[in-house]
Amino acid sequence: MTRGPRVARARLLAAGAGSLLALALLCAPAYAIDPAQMPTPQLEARYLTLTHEFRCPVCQNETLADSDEPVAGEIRAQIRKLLLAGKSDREVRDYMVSRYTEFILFKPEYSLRNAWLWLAPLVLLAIGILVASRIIRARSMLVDQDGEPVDDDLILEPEPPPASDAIGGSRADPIVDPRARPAVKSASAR
Amino acid sequence: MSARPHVIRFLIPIAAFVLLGIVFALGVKHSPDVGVIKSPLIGKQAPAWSLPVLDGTGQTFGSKDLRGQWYVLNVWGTWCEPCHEEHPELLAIARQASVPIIGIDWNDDDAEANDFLVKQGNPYKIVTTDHDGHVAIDWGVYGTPETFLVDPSGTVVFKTIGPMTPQVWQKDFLSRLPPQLLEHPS
Repeated sequence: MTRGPRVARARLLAAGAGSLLALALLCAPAYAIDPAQMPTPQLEARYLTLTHEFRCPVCQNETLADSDEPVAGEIRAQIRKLLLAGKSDREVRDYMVSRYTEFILFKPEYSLRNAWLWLAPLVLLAIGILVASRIIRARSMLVDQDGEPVDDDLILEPEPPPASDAIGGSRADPIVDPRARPAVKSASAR
Repeated sequence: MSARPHVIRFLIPIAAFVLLGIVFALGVKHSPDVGVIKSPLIGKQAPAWSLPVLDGTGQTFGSKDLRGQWYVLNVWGTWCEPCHEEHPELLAIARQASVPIIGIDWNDDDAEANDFLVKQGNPYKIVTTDHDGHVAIDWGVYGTPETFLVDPSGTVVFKTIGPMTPQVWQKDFLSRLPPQLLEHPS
C-alpha cells in the first residue's frame, strides 16, 4: 500500500528532473550575449579572445564578453568595428587602455610599473618555502631524553585523555560533557 | 628549548597580518570604483567626433565645429537618474558662464530627450544624439553623467564622473577657464 505512492513519486521526480535537463539543454544557446558574427572564423576568434581579455567597466568582475550591460555591448561593437577596419590586436588593446586605463585589462601588462604585481606571488611562495623549511628543520631536531624523535602530535597540541576517564562517567555515553575538558586540564597540570 | 622558535612563532603571523593590512590598504585606496578611473584622455587631444543634432533637422555637429573655443561636453541620457539630479546645476551654469555646454544624449530615445529638455529646461547650446554609443565609447565614457572640459586646441583638460555640483564646477572647471568666460556677457 505504501509502495504505490512511493513509486509514483519517484517516477514524478524522474520526469521532473528529465524535463528540467531538457529545458536546460534547450536554453543553453540563449546564453550567447552577442548575436553578431564576424565575417571570418579568424576574426571571430580574435574578437572572442579580445572581448574575454577586457573587463566590463561598470560591472567590475565580468569580462566584456560575458556582460549584458549596454556599455559592454557598445564597447564590443567598437572592438568589432576596429577589427573590421583591419586593426591589430595590439592596436585594439592600446585603444582600450588609452580610453579606459589599464583597469580594463583583466591581465595586467608586463611593465616595470606592474613588476610588483607579477613578482609578488613568487616572493610570497619563496617566503612560504623558507618558513616551512625552517619549521620542518626545527621539528626534526627536537628529540626527547631517550634520543627518540618527539611525536609531532605531542608538540602541536597535547591531546587530553578521554573525558570519561577523568570524571569517571559512563564510558558508554557518546556525548562528551563540555565541562570535562577544563577538569582534565587542571588535573593533568598537577 | 631556546626562546627563539617561540618568538618566531609569534612574529610570523604578526608580520603576515601587517603585510596583508598594507596590501588591503593599498587596494582600498586604489580601488577603481565608479568615479575613480581617472580619464587617460586628460592632457590629450580629444577624439574627433561628429553626431546628428537632436533637433531632428538631420544636421550633424562635432569637434570640427568647436575648434578654437573652450567647451564643456556633457554625456547624459533621460534614463540616467543622476543626470536628472545634475540638471538644475547645468541650467545654473548655462545662465552664469559663457562657456558653451554641448550635450551628447547617449543611448536615448530622441522624443523622450526632447520632451525632457522642454519640461526641465535646456542648458545645452547644442545637443547631439549617440544612439549606438560609438562616440561615448571613443571618449572612454562608462557611467553617466560624465562631463569634460575641452580647451581651444581640442585638448581634454578635465573630466568628472557623476552629477555636476557647484563645488566641482567651482573647483575643477572654473579654475581652469580663462577669466573672460566666467561671466555671462549679458
